[in-house]
Amino acid sequence: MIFAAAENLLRGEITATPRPRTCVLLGASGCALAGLALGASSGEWRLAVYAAIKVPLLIVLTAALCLPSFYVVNTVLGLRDDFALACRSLLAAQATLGVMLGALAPMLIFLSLGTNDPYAVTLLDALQFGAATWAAQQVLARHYRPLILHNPRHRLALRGWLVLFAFTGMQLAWVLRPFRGTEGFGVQFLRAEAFQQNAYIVLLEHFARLWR
Amino acid sequence: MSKAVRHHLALRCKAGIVFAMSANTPPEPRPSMLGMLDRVLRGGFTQREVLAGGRIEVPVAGLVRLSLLLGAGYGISLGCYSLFGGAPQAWLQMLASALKVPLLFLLTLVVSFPSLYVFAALQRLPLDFRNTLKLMLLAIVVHLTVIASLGPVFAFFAASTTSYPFLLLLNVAVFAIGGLLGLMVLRRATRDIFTPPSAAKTTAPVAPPAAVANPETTPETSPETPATPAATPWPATVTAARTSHQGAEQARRLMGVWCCVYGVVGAQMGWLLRPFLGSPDAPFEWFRQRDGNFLVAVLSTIGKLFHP
Repeated sequence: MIFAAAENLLRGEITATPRPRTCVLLGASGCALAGLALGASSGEWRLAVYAAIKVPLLIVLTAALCLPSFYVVNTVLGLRDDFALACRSLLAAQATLGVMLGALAPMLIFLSLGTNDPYAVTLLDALQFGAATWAAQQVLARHYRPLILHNPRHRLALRGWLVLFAFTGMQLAWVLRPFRGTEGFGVQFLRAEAFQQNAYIVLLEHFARLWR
Repeated sequence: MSKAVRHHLALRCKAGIVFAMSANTPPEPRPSMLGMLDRVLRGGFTQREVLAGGRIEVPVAGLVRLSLLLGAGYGISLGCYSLFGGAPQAWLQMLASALKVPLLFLLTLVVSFPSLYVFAALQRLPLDFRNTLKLMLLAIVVHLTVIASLGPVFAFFAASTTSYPFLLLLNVAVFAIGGLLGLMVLRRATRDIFTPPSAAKTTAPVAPPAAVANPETTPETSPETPATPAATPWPATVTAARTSHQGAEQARRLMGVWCCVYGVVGAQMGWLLRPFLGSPDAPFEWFRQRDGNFLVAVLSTIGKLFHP
């Protein structure tokens, strides 16, 4: 049944989108599977369990942090009557993200077993998340199309959501590290400096080093 | 009890009965805070038909209370930086931020409103002093709601980063996003005020340009079409479109001036009322010494991100 629901989500029309509860189940299980694969690639079972908890947590917490402002923006833009539909669309997109991450997990394990280069492994992770995001965008665009046709302001609200979600999600992902074990750090749920660093500052520092 | 007092009470009683009898419909229940906020955000107080009367009916006291709550809410999320950073007087900083955010909006309104009203009057905005103030209050509520809704995001960043310059810039960005949405509501309302409902309704079926360009088909000369009673040679739809266009132009001009005045005063007021976050390297203080200005501070903070 869960496979039929996943197929409906990925292939079907908007009317065939699974119920919210099924979407949550699909998204969470896919994310957990991806987390399991990420953590297991280090050979530490505890890391696999931690990552299986943290990947779904990343998506859920990011959405929870961004939803209040999405609600306000929708109301200010005069889109409140469609808010339930907009939320269903976002939920379908998140479920697709989870399903895609889960589907890519075996391939990720297979490819990461063949390399020891940490940069190559990071690149693989980025590719996995990139592909999952692309799939989620496809489903989101399909669900949002009638809403945008009904009121073009939905496009603005959607862009706002995407920017805020990416901005918050990146920092939360940084806080929830490690998803994959790193030599010399041992097994830990969160790093000691989890709440000390800022992903964007680290990124800027990396760029600054490139120019020096 | 004297006779005069008894007579007065009897009159008041009669008046009460008459009033109660005349009011056939039961009194409307007072809207809840959330209901009121919802109506503000949905533009329920700034509908075109309502604005056409030149009056904005809003529960001012309720909106002021709401603004205080929303501002304090965002102030608390600002204070989270001190709390999570382990500052010695974190609770005091949280309290200071919760008080200062509403104060920032209040003082900005007090300082800038006279000039805003003068500019509005110069642009012939058909709202009196009181109603212009109510319009501003609505925009402020929208601004505060947006920043309060971004409060959880800010609190999360405050908990997960120690970079003071990053959070300063994030705070500026949050205020800017709220300001943009507040301005959007204000712009929509001013455009509706300048464009009467009749003009707005008739702008959709604008006469095709050929009909205007060809004198033989204009309403004045066409034998089939009765002549328009208006003195203008333009068809009613085109006149309405021009009125609508002029209204939009007036609204745009007014918004440009309002934006500059309110933005400059607000930014500088924020600078005067700092610290909102509380620097981790400095002890708690309610206000800092007056030096520099907002723009220089933002540029220097961006520089600090690269060279901490």
